[in-house]
Amino acid sequence: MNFGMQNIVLDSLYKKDFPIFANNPGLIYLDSSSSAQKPKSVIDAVSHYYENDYANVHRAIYGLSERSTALFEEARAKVAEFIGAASSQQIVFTKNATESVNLVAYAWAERNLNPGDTILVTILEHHSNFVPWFELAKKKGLNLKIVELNLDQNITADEIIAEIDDSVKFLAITQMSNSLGTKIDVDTVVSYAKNRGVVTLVDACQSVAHMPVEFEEIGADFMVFSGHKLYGPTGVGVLCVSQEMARTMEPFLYGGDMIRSVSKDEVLYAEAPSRFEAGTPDVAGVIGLGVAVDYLKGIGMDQVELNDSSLCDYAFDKLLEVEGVRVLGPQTKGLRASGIAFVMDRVHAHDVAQILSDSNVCVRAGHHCTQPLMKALGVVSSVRMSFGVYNSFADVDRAIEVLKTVPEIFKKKVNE
Amino acid sequence: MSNIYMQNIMDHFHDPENHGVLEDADFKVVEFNPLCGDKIELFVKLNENKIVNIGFIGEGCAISQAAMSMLSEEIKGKSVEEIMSLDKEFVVNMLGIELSPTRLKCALLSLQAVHNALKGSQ
Repeated sequence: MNFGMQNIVLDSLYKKDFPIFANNPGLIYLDSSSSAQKPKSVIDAVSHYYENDYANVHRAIYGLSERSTALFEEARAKVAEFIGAASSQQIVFTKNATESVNLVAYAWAERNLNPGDTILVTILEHHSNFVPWFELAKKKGLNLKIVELNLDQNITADEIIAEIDDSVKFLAITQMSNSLGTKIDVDTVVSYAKNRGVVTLVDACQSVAHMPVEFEEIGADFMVFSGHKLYGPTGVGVLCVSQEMARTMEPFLYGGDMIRSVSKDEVLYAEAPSRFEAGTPDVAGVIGLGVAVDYLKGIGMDQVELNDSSLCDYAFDKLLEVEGVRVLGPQTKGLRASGIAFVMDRVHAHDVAQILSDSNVCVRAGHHCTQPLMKALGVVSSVRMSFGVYNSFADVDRAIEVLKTVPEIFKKKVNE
Repeated sequence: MSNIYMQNIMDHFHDPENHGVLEDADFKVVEFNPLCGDKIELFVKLNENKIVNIGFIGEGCAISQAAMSMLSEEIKGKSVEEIMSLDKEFVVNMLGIELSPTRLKCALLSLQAVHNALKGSQ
């Protein structure tokens, strides 16, 4: 056992950094794939900004606004460095990852794809990386092709590549399934797609919080994620664009802050990223995200991945001990890094989650915004435990202990 | 034991009252809770504006299915007007457990099904 794993056996080394746990004694939070808790440094940075440095950005001459702008742009640079983008000009702030996907759908795909072209996605996609493409396909007469699960309930790079034919012009795939917790080898897929002239979008909502992600190494045209899953405040999404797209893509939302000049007869638009950031942004949220990135850099994303994937594998083994549990996705360890989903025989996921909740264990139950995937897996809903740096093996043990009581609660009592 | 999984709720879940399809139903409705996949298919037979027979099939959590079973017993013999006036409080009292806002939706799927089925009779 290495040092990293010893850290998480009893209690996480990082739990003390998150005030939510001191304020909610006994809380076992296993829903980080939905949204991560916030370290004190992030919470303090947001308050500090409002108390000391607040003014609108990009507009005024006075010192306070310049300070605010500097903090905002410094956060952009931190995010760029964190995800391995060549320049901070490639980082566009939106309100969430869903808006980032929609931005690409409207600003690039709608204007560049033609009837008969194919958009390729996988069955693993979160609704946010499925519904915008579904609607665009309907509107423009495009084909939406979906890479299905293989017999291991997984998808390999080769299986995605096998679906890339001449009609495929756009590829939108996740790097980590939010429902199953499994990693997808997007590096291999994107590099193949790029050689075929396919434009690519990577949904990094989960991956960016659970493993090192390098945008330029992946080589995608677009990458999206949200700040709140990355231990930052709610209200901030990121769209990372390639340098070429930053130069050539038309704007999405029009209005203030995204222009170079406006006259009665002509409007000239600013360069990226301002070009794509109409209106006042969530300045405090962005500054908070910058501090969240500092926090993760302090731990190291290799360590985060080791922490979270060890928890997934530990939970996999432990779940097998519980009567009636079926783990969804691949039946092997070493493939998950964010969380693990399962169903229980004859017990609805909501009932399982309720029983866990009564013991202060927070898990997610439902379709996890992946209804096509749930259908492919033959379930209407499932239970998902997902992990963050504050989780430990002891958290998993507690969840398992409560799960073991579920079959008894649901056992049919006879002669009563 | 978790307090919402009381024995009477579990009994209704395991052995629901009025479970099954009514071939001669006057009204039929299918209700879903898209968030969790709870589903109820309800069949109602009326005579002189009163429910004389009721049946349902469904799938979902213990609360949604037990609530439908209990409600089906409660409304048998009642008039359409009486049933249409039943509200959230009635279902909560009938179950006799405390429910969070999310679980309340599970419980109220039953009443929604009944109300939507009877809308056609008015």
